[in-house]
Amino acid sequence: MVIELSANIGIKNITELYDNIRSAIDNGCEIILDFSKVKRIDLSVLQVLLVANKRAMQNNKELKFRSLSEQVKKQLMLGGMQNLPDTPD
Amino acid sequence: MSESPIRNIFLAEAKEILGNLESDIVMLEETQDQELINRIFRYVHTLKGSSGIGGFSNIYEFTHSLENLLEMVRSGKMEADQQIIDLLLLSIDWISSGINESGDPAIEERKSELLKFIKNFMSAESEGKNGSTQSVIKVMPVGVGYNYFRIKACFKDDIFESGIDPLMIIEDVVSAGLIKEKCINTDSLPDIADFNPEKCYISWEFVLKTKYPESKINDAFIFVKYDNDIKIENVTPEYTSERHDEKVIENKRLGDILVKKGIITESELSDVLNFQNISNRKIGDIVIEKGYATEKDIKFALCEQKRINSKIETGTVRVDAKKLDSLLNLLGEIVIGQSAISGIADELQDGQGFRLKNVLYGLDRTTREFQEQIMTIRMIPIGATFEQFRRFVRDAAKNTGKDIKLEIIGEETELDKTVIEKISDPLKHMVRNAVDHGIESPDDRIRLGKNPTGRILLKAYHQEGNVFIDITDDGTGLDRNKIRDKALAMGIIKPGDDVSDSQLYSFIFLPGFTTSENVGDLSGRGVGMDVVRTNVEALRGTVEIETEKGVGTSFRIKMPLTLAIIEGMLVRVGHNIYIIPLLSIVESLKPSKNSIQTIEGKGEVLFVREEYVPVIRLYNVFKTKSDFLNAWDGLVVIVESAGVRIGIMVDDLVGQQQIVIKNIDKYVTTRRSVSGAAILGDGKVALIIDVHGLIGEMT
Repeated sequence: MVIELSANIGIKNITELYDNIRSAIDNGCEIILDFSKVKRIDLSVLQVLLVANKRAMQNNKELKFRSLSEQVKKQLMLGGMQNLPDTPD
Repeated sequence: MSESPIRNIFLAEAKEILGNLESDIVMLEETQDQELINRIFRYVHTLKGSSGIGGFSNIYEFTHSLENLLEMVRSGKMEADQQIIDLLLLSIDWISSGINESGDPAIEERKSELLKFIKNFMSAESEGKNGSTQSVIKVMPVGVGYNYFRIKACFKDDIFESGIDPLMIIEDVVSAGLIKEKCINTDSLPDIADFNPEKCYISWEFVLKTKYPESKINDAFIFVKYDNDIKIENVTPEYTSERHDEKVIENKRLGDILVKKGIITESELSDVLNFQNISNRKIGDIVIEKGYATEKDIKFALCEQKRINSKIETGTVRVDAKKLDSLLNLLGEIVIGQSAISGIADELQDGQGFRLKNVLYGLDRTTREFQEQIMTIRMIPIGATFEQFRRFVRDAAKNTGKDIKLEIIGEETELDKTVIEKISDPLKHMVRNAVDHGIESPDDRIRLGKNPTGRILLKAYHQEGNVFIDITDDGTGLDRNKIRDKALAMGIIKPGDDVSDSQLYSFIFLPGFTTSENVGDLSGRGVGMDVVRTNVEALRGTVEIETEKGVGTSFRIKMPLTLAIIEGMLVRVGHNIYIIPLLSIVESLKPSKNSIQTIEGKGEVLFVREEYVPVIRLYNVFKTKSDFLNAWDGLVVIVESAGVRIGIMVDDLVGQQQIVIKNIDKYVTTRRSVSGAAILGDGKVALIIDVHGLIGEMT
């Protein structure tokens, strides 16, 4: 399941992203997060990714990321998410 | 090797001299006053002498060269032009870091670089050249050489509500250098089912290698450090060879004491230090093991070392601020005790009660005088705080390509030490805003018919028991329309809402509110003014804005002279006592039934002295019981803050007394309408009303 993050993803609309990801995890879907519109994220997004990845790994899956910009990659690294492979379209 | 007391004397003196030097050198850009140049020369000369005595040979050597350069300026052989001023500033930056980080190769490298510049300037001048041989001195980061800081950043869980993104702050800090060790603590992250996406769970701990000084790193956390757990520790010695050298120096000091006291000989000390280098054991243990001294001797020497280290001998008496706080606390207890005795006096028979009250009046006069004396000791001039902005404005103006002059009035105005410490950061932010968003570029200013040099004025003065600080710029002024558009976009107001100018401008203090299209290096993230207001209100102060588009903006901060004690009016609502600061009270009255009206959309108002004043029922505010339901049955206390008046309905006035303010922890209440509490004579606790906060909550 591909979840496309909006360009202005952040604390103001984080609940929607959280609900979507959680629902996808609960349904056992493999999740691909499309960052093609995202220039930067904030901590609320990083936390959701961390917590979702943790649960996904418990289910023997992991979150996949697509079209991460260098800026976002750096931000994810600050949150301990490094060496993320880019998932092709 | 220098002894500890001399080293400490030098460090204290150097800090003061370097602060004064920085301020004076920046003023050189405005005036080549001979007395100013002489003063700068004298400071450097004193620094040279003191560093020599203190054993700081590095500093001595450097200041010797600097003194020679300044001699040429002083004697008129050289003009203190922009390049010289830049060199002087970089030199004092080097001295600051050289004092703390001596021996670091990067520091030595920088010193050589600066000495080369000094030599080039001096030889160019003596050869009659005009300095064109000089390379441009880039304004380098103030921190010379590499510093290592261990940074721990743990943010409160509701930090997002303040409009702050901790990740952005961490990115800012990390961009200042290189991370050597990193630890992200995600232990608090719950399972996805229990996770609240609007709470902060993550904290960081990392070591940053950077060319910048601690102050620059501190600045990144400037708006969050009071409310969050932020620690910055300079661990440079651990990451350079300094650590070993420091340990050696420390041990040698103990060794010096042992030799001085005749406990061991010089050659025995040499033997011990050589052994210590190999074995890395405590010097005291080695001395005992080799039989040079007994355990008792070592204990005595260690006590002596501790005594020397903790004693700072200077020409003035330095008082630990904690001692003053303790004195003030004790005074507070005396005031409470007095109040209790006064209560007892009221219950006594006429004659005895009268005599006791008479004695208490005398005691009251003495405690008031005592209080004033302690307050005086705590008061320090704000001048030093203002002066630190000269360098900041100068550098910031250069970085933004603007020409800005900083004027300071009222530097002798005294404030409570705690107030000064806490007002510095909000002032810094407002000055930043003035530089970044207020003052236009020289070209724009010329086009607008203004002087190309912008002006920022910092003014402090006392008035009616308060201290005022004005930050005024002659820049672009606040854009009312932009603020209104932003407020609409954020849903703070609706289209068609009639909002006064002062209300509109107050929106800039809301979290996340910025009309900036660009996030500047200095400001524009929509974080600062919210925290400015919070910090000022924490000091029981207020901030007002006056602005005119195209003309400029003025922020006025009003604060009490002291945070510790106020004159308060005790009022009763039901069984509870509340305290209203006397300075906020305009008058108290028993309103007539006809003077109380209810206006749709405004609530209850009192018509008094030709104006309508909103009435606030205190029992409603604190959800408590009152003797009366109608305002005309009780009393109304008219209070005022920042030009706004309200009437507070109470049951009765109890009396006026000196109140010692006890702070209330945020876990008890975060209400803006409460500024603290006080313990009354009968041991009961009374809440102190924050009039400004009450008006803010209710309107």
